[in-house]
Amino acid sequence: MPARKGFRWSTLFIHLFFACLTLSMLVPLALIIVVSLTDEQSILHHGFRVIPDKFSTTAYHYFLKTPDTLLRAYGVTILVSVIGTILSLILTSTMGYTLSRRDYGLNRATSFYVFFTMLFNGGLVPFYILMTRGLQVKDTLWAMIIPGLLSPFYVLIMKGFMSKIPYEIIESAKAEGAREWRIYAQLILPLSKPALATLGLFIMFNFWNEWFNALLFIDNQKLVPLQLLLVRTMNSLDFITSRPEFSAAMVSFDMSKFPSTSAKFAIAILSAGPMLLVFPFFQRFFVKGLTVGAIKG
Amino acid sequence: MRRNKVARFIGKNIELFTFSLPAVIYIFVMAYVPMFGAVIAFKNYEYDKGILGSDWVGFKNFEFLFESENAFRITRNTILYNISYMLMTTLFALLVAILLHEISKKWLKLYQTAMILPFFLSWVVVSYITMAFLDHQNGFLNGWLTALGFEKVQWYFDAHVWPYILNVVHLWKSIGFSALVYFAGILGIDAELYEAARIDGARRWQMIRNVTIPQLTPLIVILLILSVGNMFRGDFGLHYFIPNNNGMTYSTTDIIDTYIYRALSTIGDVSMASAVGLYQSFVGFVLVVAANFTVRRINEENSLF
Amino acid sequence: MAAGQDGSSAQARKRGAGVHPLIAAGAAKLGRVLLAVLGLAAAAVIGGCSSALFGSDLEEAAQPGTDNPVELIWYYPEYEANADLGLVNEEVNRIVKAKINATVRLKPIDFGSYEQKMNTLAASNAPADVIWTSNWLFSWTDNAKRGVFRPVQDLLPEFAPRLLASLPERFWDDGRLGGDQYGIPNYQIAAMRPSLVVQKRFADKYGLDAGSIRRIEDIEPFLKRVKEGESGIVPFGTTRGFYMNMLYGIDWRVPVYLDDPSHTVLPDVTPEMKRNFELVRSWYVKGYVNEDSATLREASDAYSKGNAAAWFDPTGKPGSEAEFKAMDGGYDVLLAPLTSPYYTGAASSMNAISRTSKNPERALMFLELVHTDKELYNLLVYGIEGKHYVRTTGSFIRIDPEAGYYTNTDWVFGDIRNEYLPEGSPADKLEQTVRINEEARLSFYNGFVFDGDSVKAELANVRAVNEEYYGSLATGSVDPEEYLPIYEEQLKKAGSDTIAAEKQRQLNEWLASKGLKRHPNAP
Repeated sequence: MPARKGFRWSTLFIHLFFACLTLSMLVPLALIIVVSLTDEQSILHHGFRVIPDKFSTTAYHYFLKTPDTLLRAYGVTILVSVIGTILSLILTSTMGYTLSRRDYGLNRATSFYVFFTMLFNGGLVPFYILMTRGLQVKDTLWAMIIPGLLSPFYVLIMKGFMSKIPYEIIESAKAEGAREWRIYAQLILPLSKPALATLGLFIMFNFWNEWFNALLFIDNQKLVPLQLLLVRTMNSLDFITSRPEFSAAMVSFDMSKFPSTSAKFAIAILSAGPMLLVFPFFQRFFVKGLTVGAIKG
Repeated sequence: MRRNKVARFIGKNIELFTFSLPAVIYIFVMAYVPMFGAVIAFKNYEYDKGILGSDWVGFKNFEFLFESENAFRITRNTILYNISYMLMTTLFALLVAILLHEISKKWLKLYQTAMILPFFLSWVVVSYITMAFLDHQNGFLNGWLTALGFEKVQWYFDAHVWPYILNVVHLWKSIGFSALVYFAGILGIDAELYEAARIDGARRWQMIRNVTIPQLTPLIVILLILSVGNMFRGDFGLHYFIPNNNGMTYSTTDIIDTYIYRALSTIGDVSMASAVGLYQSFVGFVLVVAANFTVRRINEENSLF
Repeated sequence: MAAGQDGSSAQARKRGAGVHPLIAAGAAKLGRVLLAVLGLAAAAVIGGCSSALFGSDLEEAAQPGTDNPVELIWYYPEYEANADLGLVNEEVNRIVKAKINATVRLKPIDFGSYEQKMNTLAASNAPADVIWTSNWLFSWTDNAKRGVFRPVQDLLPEFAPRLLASLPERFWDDGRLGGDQYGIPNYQIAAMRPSLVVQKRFADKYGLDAGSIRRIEDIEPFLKRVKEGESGIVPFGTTRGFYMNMLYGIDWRVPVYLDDPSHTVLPDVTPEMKRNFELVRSWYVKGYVNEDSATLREASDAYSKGNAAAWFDPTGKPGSEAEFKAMDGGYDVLLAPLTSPYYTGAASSMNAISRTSKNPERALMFLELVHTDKELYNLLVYGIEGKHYVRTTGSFIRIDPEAGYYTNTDWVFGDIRNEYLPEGSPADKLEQTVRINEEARLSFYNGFVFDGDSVKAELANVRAVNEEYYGSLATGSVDPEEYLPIYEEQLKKAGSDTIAAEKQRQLNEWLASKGLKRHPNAP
């Protein structure tokens, strides 16, 4: 990495650039927090304000009135995310590593095999039948874990990362008689920490946000993950309001059953908040690059 | 002789093959087995007859997409937006990643965290934020405009502004993710390469040009090829929630995915939905194979397969 | 086996230390051959797996009678998950087990996911016994045609005679398709009375006599006075406009003029619609209508701030004054009906028996209980007495919405004539509902159900065009002079004429089959 000593104009510009960028990211987010704490009537009459006329925490009461349900949902989500991420990283990295090896005879064929599934799929119905009748994971945690275990997109990104690792070090390790699994475990994995952390973060994020499979396969209220709990009321509202024929139907919709504006923002905080706390854990691996030399030595 | 070759081929690759085996099996079960279900795109799927037992109807389920007066408009929008998202994101993310690499640890952490924040928000939430800015009555933007003595703008009615708004919003949400990918790529570059460049007397930007960019090329190319594959698939959440699904702006916001949703959401026809998906996949597939072929001609090592 | 492979690969590694390009090329070619073989094998395996999974499975294990205990599955929509669903389910089973030797698994799904989840379940032939369906969510006609439901006309008289007798004939008509009874309607309000809703405080202040309003135009002078007299008040709040066929003498079941002896199906855009759009446009230009009407998403957005003096309500149900008051910031409202009530049908909330049900008889018996057992019905709607609600006076109850179970969807389950009334509802709500249902005018075309199967593509595209233009036109946000011709042209291109022609054809057939007057142009 280039050494940085003394003042440089370019450094100042870089910081200015990032300062603007950071502000543009933080201001809207601050807005979410503020709105989630704003009194509902105040939103109705004045719209969103950076400094609201009247604060209120009622938006959170809605979810905190049944803390058991919320805590259990957090538990399910954490369990699914952790198990899912670990398993997924194992699958993704082994596959990605295999694909990154240019000397692997089935390299192209396997790449294609993986890539093809990124574009073509059987659709929802066969997937549902496979999960319920084939794998029989309905109403289990696996229903939320299995579908997200391997994303072809991430495998191919992993391949991109790993193909930068100089082939010579693999070759020299092989020359010393190292077996493939040792090369993978002792050379490749340490060298791929930034890659693993990046993909691990994204994979965990996907598991964290998973609600669609839960919606399809989970009927047991005790296994409902956080996002399904939060998202379904929110989606119900958007779904119903986007369908004009609903209002013409001879049924009365009780709109008060749907979350208020501030509650929607509270949902955003409750659902995305924990991921932000997890971020620093992954970030440790992004800060410093690893040197091949260090591994070799 | 021939058997010997086979044995050698197997012998040489068996270890790596075993390595990929768990993933290969997973993909086979989860992706290839259900793929047969895609035949319902060519069938009039009646549930009591099952997928395989339903009647073949050829391309009938595809018709509505091509018969539509809007086929051109939504295809054009989808492709143009995807190209623009692809270019903007790649360029900006590379810029950000490279600049991040130039600054000290303390700041790096702050900037990185700030940039990844929007990535964790759903499109629905983002749509509320944009609404806070663009709302006609109470929006910040119109507030500022009137404060400066300008006329209020009906943002949600004005089709011309939406290409800019959508690009900004997309960039805002995705920059953290993409920059992180490239940044992780930069971190994976062998530090000795930089050392060697420095010994040669290279300046900052020379190192970027001669070391960073070439080293990142495989990753960039892979990401580009992959996004080419999704050229016909738009970001539904972005195009549905952010413009508030307003008819007035469809001419510039409507993409294949939102159109299909509008057209099919009440019909709930599995076969027609599957037909659209298959069409999008097929075009994407052709494009990727073409892109991959081109890349292979230029530099075989960078190609995807 | 592993050891052998490892050994050979170790040898191979030694030999291939410096891989000769030719050998590598040979290996690659070989790889391709190998791949082709593998590919074929894989295809065979995929095919095998797939047909095992996705073939149709027809199994019938019907055993009528209540000797053997069975478990039934019931899917229906709800607003939000209730914490005490399990408790209520147990109570339900206590009642049901005693009466018909069955247990039920209640499987409520939130409204927003209902269509998606039920479509997937149904398309996958997942097990289910009773499925809630309607003409606006999880379409009963489409799904009946796809084979999701089992016709029940053969079972009804034997297994659910009291249910059969409890509903009026016009209700049963609405669940029938091609001679088969699929839908078992819930009893609730089934008639519409499009009305204007006016805030009482403004009606009093500006001397509006709600009884004098006959047509929607009659409200205009009032809007003018509100506009002039009140600042910060929107005279007329709207999100989707107020065009309805019924307001303009067009039948609500099939778009045909009420007095048209030739039964000619009208195009989507009629002169009446044009008149309506022009009226709204003029209101919009004069500032009577909220400017953001076309971007609002929730119907209640038009009045929920309490700053709209008047708005349009397509249903005008009994008791809606109280509902509006609860949602408009607590202001009293007056209802000014624009038509006499007309019967729109019971298809807006029905239950049907799933074709995958192994015990359709018991499922019907269960539905009969839901419809006729007051205790069971109120349990499903309000939860457990003493825990989730308490009886007050007469048939009134006080609900505790925080207690862990409250559906607020009496219309999803059975027969609202069995229900206890939450405090605050009009005491004669049920009598009014029954009266309106009985008095409501019946469409000449009652019983005609349009089958859109042959014009699926056109329907999809017309729908998309409507989404694009209708809202802006109906709320006056755009000038109909300019946009109505575009809308009309887009509709034509999307195939609206084809749909109208198909509708006409089916209508003629229906008229002929009923022995009613034939269309003069009919073949």
